[in-house]
Amino acid sequence: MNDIPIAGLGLVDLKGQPVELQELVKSYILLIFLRHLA
Amino acid sequence: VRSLKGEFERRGVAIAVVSFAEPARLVSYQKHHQWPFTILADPGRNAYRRFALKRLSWFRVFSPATLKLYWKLLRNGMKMSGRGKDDIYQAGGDFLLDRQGNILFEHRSQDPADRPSVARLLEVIDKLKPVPGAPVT
Repeated sequence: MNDIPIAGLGLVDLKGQPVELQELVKSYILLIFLRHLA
Repeated sequence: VRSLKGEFERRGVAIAVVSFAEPARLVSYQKHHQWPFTILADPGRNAYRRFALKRLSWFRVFSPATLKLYWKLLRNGMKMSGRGKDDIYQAGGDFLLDRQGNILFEHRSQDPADRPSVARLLEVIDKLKPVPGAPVT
């Protein structure tokens, strides 16, 4: 499978502050991409 | 996933939910739903693009499986608060990654009801080799 550079994805927290996934990963990380908010 | 969060944590798997909604909208959403996960915003959809999550065609968005799912959710009291405001065609997806960004599992939803089951995700995780020295909670 392809690898994805997980740095610089442009994600922000609820305060709008940039977040790097690397800070969140334990051994692994499950990313759940939502569709629209219900 | 919410009810089995501990099962993921026990396996050293962090969970992050990503939405393309603005952070301000997510704050009120989270206040209401109290999800026990890290919630991240991607209003520019940079990460959505990076993970090749495309927009769905209308016949996938309104597939019988989707209509059945929404009927079930509405019957269970879900309110359609964001109706008409959001891009309903954006596809979601689920990805399991390691610390290096290797994709160990990927699922790009083909319609809104198309998500891997928690059992399937745990099955995939259980087949992975343990990471030496990794923090396990």
